[in-house]
Amino acid sequence: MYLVTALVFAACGVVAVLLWVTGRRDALGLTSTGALFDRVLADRPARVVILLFWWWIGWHFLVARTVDPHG
Amino acid sequence: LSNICQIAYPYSYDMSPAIDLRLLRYFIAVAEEGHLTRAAERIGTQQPPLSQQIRVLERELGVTLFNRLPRGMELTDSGAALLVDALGIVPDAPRFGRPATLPTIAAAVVVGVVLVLAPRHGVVDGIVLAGLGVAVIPFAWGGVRPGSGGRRTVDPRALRRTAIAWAVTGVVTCAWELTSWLLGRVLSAEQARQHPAISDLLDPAIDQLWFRAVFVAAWLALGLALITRGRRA
Repeated sequence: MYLVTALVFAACGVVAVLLWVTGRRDALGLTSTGALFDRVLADRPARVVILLFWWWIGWHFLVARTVDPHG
Repeated sequence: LSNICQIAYPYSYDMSPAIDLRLLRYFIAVAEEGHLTRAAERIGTQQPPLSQQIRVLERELGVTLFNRLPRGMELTDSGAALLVDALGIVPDAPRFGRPATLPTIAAAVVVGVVLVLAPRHGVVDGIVLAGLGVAVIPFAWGGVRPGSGGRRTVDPRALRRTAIAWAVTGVVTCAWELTSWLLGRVLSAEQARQHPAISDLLDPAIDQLWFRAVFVAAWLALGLALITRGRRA
């Protein structure tokens, strides 16, 4: 089950990379992720939330001890 | 202006394809500056005629593009939607979301090196992250600065499909993460290890210097992209 769980996360990551690459090539009727960022980040509340989430990711993995190493 | 006329944004329903590009240039200037006087100075005109031209554009489109506030002009949703397309239509429209400047990139590299080499969970990391948090506040809050991908016209339908694709991916990831996290709390410790959350998977890897370097580089690159997109550089 460990492997299945990890593979699902990996698959999500692969899909994200594929979306990014596909968008850059304007393939499959998609547009670039940058264009999406531009549209979404034009909105202040969205910008605040997304930047806050980005900052929290850094804090979570680099500063906070969120995983018990002995657990 | 075929893209504008085809999309489902509110401003486009009754939009004439014969709209004057000059009006779009004026609109872009006001949207960027957020202030009529500054926009008028920028395009070399006076405030009253510029204000009049913006009203003409609003009349032609049948929507309100700006909220007139004491501190300046704030884009409405319709205005933001128009701006995204206007920047792609007007040939010499200034590009929002320019690449990060050299000093910004240099600062990001220094921060990255510190975050990689400093002891994880240490005071230095804490200070750097706190500093970064303060540093991005102006970027997050700073004015209403809608942006566009630059000179290239973005097909709104493709944009919507892209948004849906990313949203679905994000929701699936979050649902799987939530499931794993919940299982980790209701199952016994031994069983919970079979359902690792993202943190459980990444945490040991980030302890490795090389992976921490990759993580920090990706995280900072994303941050740079976020602060240089969707807003005026």
